[in-house]
Amino acid sequence: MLVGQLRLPNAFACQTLVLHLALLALYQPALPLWNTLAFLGLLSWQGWRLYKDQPALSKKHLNWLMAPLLLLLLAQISQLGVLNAMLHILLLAAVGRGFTLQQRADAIQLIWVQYFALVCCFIFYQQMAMALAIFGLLLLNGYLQHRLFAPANAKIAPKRTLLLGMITLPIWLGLFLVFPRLPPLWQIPNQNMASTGLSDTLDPGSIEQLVQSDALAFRVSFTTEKPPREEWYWRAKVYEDFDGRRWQRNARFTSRQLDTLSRNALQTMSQSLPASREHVQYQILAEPSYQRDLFSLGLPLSGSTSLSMQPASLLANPLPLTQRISYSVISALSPLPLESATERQLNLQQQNANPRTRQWGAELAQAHQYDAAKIVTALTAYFQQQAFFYSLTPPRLGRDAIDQFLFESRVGFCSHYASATAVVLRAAGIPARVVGGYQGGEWQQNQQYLLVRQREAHAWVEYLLHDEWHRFDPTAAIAPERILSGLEQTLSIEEQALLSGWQNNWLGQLALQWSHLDYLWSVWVLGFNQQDQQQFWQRLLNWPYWHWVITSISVASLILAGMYWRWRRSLRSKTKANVLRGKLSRAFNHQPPLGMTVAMWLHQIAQHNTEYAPLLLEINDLYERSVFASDALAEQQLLQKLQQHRRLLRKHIYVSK
Amino acid sequence: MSYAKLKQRAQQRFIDWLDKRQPATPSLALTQGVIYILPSRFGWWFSFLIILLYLLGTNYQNNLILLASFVLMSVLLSTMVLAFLNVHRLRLTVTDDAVTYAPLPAALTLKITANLCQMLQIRLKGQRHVQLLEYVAGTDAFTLMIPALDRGCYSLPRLVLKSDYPLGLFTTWSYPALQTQIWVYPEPVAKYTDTEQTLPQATNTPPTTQNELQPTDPTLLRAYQQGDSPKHILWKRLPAAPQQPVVRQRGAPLQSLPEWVHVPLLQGPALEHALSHACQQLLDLEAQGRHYGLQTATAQIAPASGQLHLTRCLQELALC
Repeated sequence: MLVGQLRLPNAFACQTLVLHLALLALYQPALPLWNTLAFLGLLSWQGWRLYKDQPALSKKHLNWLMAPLLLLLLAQISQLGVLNAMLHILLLAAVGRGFTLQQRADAIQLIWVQYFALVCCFIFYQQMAMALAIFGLLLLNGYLQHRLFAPANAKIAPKRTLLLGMITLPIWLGLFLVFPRLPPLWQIPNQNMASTGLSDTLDPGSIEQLVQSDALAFRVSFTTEKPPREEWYWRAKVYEDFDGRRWQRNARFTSRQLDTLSRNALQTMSQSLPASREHVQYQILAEPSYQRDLFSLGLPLSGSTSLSMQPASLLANPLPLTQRISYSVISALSPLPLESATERQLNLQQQNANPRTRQWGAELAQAHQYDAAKIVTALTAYFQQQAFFYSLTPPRLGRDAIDQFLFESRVGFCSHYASATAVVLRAAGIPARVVGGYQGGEWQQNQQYLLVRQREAHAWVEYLLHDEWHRFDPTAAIAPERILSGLEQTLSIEEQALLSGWQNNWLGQLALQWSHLDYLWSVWVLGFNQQDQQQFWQRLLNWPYWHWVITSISVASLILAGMYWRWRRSLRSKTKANVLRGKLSRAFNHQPPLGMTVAMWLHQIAQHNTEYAPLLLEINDLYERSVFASDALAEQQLLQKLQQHRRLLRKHIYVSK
Repeated sequence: MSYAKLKQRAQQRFIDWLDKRQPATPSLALTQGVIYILPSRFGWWFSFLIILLYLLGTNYQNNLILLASFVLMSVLLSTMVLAFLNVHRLRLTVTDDAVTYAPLPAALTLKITANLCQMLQIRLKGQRHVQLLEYVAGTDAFTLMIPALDRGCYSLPRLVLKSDYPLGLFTTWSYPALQTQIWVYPEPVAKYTDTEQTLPQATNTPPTTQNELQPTDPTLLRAYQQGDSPKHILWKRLPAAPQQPVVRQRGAPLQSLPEWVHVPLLQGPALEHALSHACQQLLDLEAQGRHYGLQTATAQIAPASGQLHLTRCLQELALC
């Protein structure tokens, strides 16, 4: 290939170097420090070589260079995981190829690898800003590719580029809307990332880290009327095993068999439920947490196809959330059903720790005739009447943590209150468990969605009454503002400062606007899934004006086809001979009679006008050359002649009729 | 063997099909019917990339990866249109035949007209040598190099016009046939290269002198007429006849006898030799502005002079 043997375009190597540096920066989540340094060393050496204008390395030298890096990679492969190893190899291939660039043909493979490597960045980054940056880099790669196949000093033609854009954009959007989406075809390796959000154990104190985080947890938009703020209890985890100090999830949540419980279970449940209850439909856009748990209100009845139903009416994703996902749920804001007798037994287990609490629980039970509702009311009264305080910085607790909290320190936050309440209720013989999730959120009035941050993490209690799990939030008793208007109102000014930081200035406002934009991006771009696609089609098909559109399109296309046909016919009659014949007749103001060739006609005229015979014969000659030899020059000359002598031809030449 | 035969037959059928579809013309434009587009090798790799990214996006349920694969897909599709537009309406016109003397390669001047065509690769079908036209906007003259050929007359083989512009994903090509000839005249060789005499020997005409014209030769002198340059006056003669200045006539006499160049009936290398000499003779005679005719075993060209006549004679030699 000739074009492949051409020299590389100017500054091509420099631009690829920039691209590689950007790739290295984008791959940071997958690269250990040492590997980053190794790549940085390689790239700076390449930069130095470019600066010194040194020739490309030979393949052999490159192999010597790459071998140690590959060995390093092999040594790390078990720690890195398959995905990261693949990204390493991509980066290594791109950087290595950069050293051996000589001809354009060498660079084509590089372009291919760079496309792949750049798109892989989307595994880590899905926020709008990063996505735009990556698309920018893809554009740069496309430009580099274009330069390989364009003249060395060619400028970008704006018209052609615009045309490209105009063709590309509708195809792109069309493909995005229409192209079939499949469920995952096989298990894929995930990057090794620490999970964020709620942890699997609840040790009063562990939420403290969460509470200060402004990071986004998820966003919710309601399809039906949004429930009142007191109902915004987003359940994510249920803690049932208590060891005297820490709450843990029961093994039934992690066992593999339950993954098969799917949407069917959800829907059959909804059929058995009376329809009169208030149902809420909402869509949740969850941020990557590297956990499987999803968030739902009350009792989920039905939801998106991909969701799986967990015990205790919890929802989960089949795989840990490595990226934002969007799912919709219909929930009933009602107490949850008891699933089995073992669930009841599980939530009555007690430990030997906290003797004072257990004793107090037993006393409460006796005082209220083992009536769960009354015991809960008594507990609420106790929390309200005694000097309990809500604080994010409670003192450390000793061995019998619950005893110490209930009867000594009386300062804590949600998980202290929730775990203490659950222990008291269990001691009173009422099955109870601690639920972890999020409470509240910031309602975005303009954009009509609820924004839930990590600091809205919360813990509360569910207790069994008449074989139904009822929610009880002891924190609401101590600090009702926490539930009704959010965490900030509950805290002292210093504690608010701890939380708010930079949110109130104009930069914060800008960030908030950006976050709204990011929300739209998430809903329409990231969250667009199979279901949305189906809905889009359904809405399109249900559109009532279809027959109008189809009729007008068919009429218009018929008209266009007719016009095209006429145009083709006129084009066919417009042979060169016909066109020139017409021009000649116009010039002479006469038409050649039927059955007479132009040549015969012109010769006849020449006989009648001997003084102009040379001109007429020249015209004839030019006519014949342009018609029969397709001589463009002759045609041009003929037209010139006719124009030049138009007065003469019109006035002074006699043409017999 | 049968494979080679099949391949040859298929190629022949293809050529026949092309000849029927696109007969040679002196001028042609690349239109929809004669432009072929297929993905290039890189284009196939690119498609593979798109499929790979689609699978990756599906498995990670990552809309952005899907989006990226759709971008690449739409770029692939729209590049097809751009690749077509790049060569669409390109017009090739040939006005003159290509002419050369035997061992030298010929060059054909083409006129290429295009709105805007970039990175056009031109070669002759069956040849490897490619010429690259980086940029055509408007009308350009283009010199097509034709490899060295033996003496004779050839019709121009089909051209192969090819372009990978703009992204190398699609190869656009066409096989235009231009109606023109390549004339390869015999190599001009003087018979006796070591003597100064270069004029024809095997003819029945008396050898003409090449000496500087003598002023004493009466045929070359004539009486002075008004308008003659004073430089041509023979000043030596002036004292003898002061009233009748004599001027020296420059150049050849008005009507000298025609020269005949003969090519005897020969074969093989001997014929080539004879043709080479005849070629040289013709060139010399034309350079001297003489009248000359050509007599070969099969044809006779009446004496005349001028570039057109020389061309006719040389073409006759080429066809011998």
